[in-house]
Amino acid sequence: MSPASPLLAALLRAALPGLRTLDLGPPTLFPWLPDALCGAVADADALPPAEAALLRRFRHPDGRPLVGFDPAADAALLAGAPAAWGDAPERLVRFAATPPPSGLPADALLLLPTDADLPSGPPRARILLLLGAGEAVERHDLLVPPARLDAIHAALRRAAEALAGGAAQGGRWSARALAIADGMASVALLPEEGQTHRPPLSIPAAALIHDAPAPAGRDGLELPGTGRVRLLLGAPPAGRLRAVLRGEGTHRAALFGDGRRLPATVVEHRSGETILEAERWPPGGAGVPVLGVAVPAPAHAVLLRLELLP
Amino acid sequence: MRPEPESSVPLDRLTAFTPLPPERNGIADYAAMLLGALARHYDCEAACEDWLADAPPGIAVVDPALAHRAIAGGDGRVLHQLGNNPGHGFVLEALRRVPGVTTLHDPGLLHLRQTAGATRDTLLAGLRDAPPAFARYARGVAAEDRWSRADHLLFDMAGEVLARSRAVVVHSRFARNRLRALHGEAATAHVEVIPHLLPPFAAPPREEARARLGVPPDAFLVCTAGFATSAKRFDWLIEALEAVPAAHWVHAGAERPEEFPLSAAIAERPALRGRARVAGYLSEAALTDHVAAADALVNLRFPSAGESSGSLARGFAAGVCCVVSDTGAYAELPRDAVLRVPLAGAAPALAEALAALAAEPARARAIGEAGRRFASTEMALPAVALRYRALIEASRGRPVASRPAAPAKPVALALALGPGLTAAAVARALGGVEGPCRLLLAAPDLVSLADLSLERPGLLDGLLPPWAALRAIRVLDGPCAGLLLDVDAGQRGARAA
Repeated sequence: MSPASPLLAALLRAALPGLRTLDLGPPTLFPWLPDALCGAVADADALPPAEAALLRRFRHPDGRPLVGFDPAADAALLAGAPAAWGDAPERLVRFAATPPPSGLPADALLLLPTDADLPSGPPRARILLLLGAGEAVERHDLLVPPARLDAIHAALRRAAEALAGGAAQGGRWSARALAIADGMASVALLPEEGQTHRPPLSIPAAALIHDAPAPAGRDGLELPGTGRVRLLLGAPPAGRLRAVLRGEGTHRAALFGDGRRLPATVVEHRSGETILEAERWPPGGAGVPVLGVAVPAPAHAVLLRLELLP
Repeated sequence: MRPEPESSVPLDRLTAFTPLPPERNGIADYAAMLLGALARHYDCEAACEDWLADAPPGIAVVDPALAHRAIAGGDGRVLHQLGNNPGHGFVLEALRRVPGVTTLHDPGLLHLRQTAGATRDTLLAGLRDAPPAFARYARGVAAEDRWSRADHLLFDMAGEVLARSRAVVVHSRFARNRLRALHGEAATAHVEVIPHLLPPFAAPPREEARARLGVPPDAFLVCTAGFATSAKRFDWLIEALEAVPAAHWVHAGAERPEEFPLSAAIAERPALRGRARVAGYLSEAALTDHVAAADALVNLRFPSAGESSGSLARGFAAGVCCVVSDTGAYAELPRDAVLRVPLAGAAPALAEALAALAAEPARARAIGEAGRRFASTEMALPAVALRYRALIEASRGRPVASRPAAPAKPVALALALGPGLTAAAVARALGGVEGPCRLLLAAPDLVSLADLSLERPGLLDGLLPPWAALRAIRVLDGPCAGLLLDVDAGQRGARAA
């Protein structure tokens, strides 16, 4: 995750109604866009066997594995099959690096890092997104069909102005949109006082990417009898992290960050919910961060939600 | 408290993939004791399927699915503790991905393979390990897909473990020789014998233990321990005890009725009524009391695949007279340290031995003391840990066999299947491919697919170019609805011809 990820996600969500994202490479927009489809790595075939085995465990909320681990589902996504995208009217593919030379849905929007090469295929216009993250400014390039450049640019400008006016936690932010050249425009959303947009985020169990044998239901994610579940986090949490549980033995629950036990407080509420809170994520982890939640076996417990706090 | 390292130099990390207590198996107990001792030499962590397991103080339990991230490249120090039951499935998985030194507590792994989700094909492929003498029998097993109890002795399924380990530890020469006989010299050159370890506990005095258990001071108490499996020959023991009316017997362990119905077998023998019982699985303290209270710890085995026994080590530690079968690894124990019972005529020989011990308690105590002396020399935990360290360090650079290559992934292509899809577009998509290929014709949903197939009869015949052979077809529903085709696109040169 980049520091501007929450702001980028908020901007895209506000500007592009019905957006569904394919977040390839270490996730940037997930979980800030909770229904994003994730490919945790750029090239699953190049992974060491143990890492591939780990990532192969995970399932999206609709049961699909991570992108890169199911050739048929991957092909359907890249072919632009509507069902693969949940019939979303707007589709975005984010790449951590240069996109592949072919095989991209023709009408999808593409989000690239600054230094990535342009993909081949139909011509695309470019919108530079300049987003403030503390003292730094991040740039992301949104590639759009040329015929839609004006409409999407205008929508991003309106969204940026709305965020600058209301959602930026009381700080002073400036929003600016420019038409730079033919086929190129920009939208800037910058803090005036070195702030970072990082609102608290509550992710319901039904939106989590996990390795439990059954998908989450309306009542949460039922932990398997072993009492262990792994959750794929989009990025190392920058602040506090909470897992909210209900059920037997949750007062003895534990959190694991990248496989290692996290110091955590456990608070039981009269409502029946148990909140495990870890102050900080261990630094220096390699790979996509994975949160483990464990309760003593045989487990009769449900994970209700995950909260990422500033 | 964690043992102090020998110097202030930071210790190297050692990751041990192993079950740990409270899992009810002897290997979990062994691993906990071993790690406690290895912590003097390494910064140990235990990768255990139960993340909340009980590790020795100062040793972190980590998720085995993520432990590889902290292991330095292919050169990290890794230890696998592998036994022949489903609780070790995750160790076998880890061994395939992260090679290291493997302790093979049971040289035969067929039960683990069968219970850890191995496919039929994997099991049958394991028969390739069969030595030439069993080859014909192995072909019969493969052809008829029938497995018998004898197969657990004939086919150890240990070939993969030998190939993927930097070194292999077994606890007896018998186990090493058995591996060597089945797999050959070259494949077993890295197998080392490190004796089982002596549990570092202080056994309570016999009188105290008996008082806690309600055993009279003058009773002659026979103890057995561990899971009650058929190979532990409780049938022989029951027969022998019928002939020794002075003996009381307690089995300090859990039953496995599917293997041997111990309680039922005892109940069938009126002569044992009131002097034989099954205590079931016991806590560490209760198990120690039972062993310490005994006059004889009986640990029979037939057939033996070279397994090691944690119960026997516990008996040695308590200074109890141990009675074993004269076979397998037990035959390597010094003659004065245990009482050996021959396999032929085992039950009467055992009865004779127990009667003699009951009549002469001093002899039982002398054998127990000799056993304790032997174990404290050969099986002392610090010495065992040092031998492990030497092997871990010496084997670090040793290459292991490569993982079997995954089958080549066919080229995957996808096209949106709709009224506008033409044969020319399909031919263009397949034009750059040679050989097998997977083509997804993605439809919005199954209804659309059905409509299209009605509108365009012979849909696939019309879409696929003549040089592409359709090998298989699957109809997919859900998020990737459509037709998934396995196609052989042939060779480009052949197409032109």
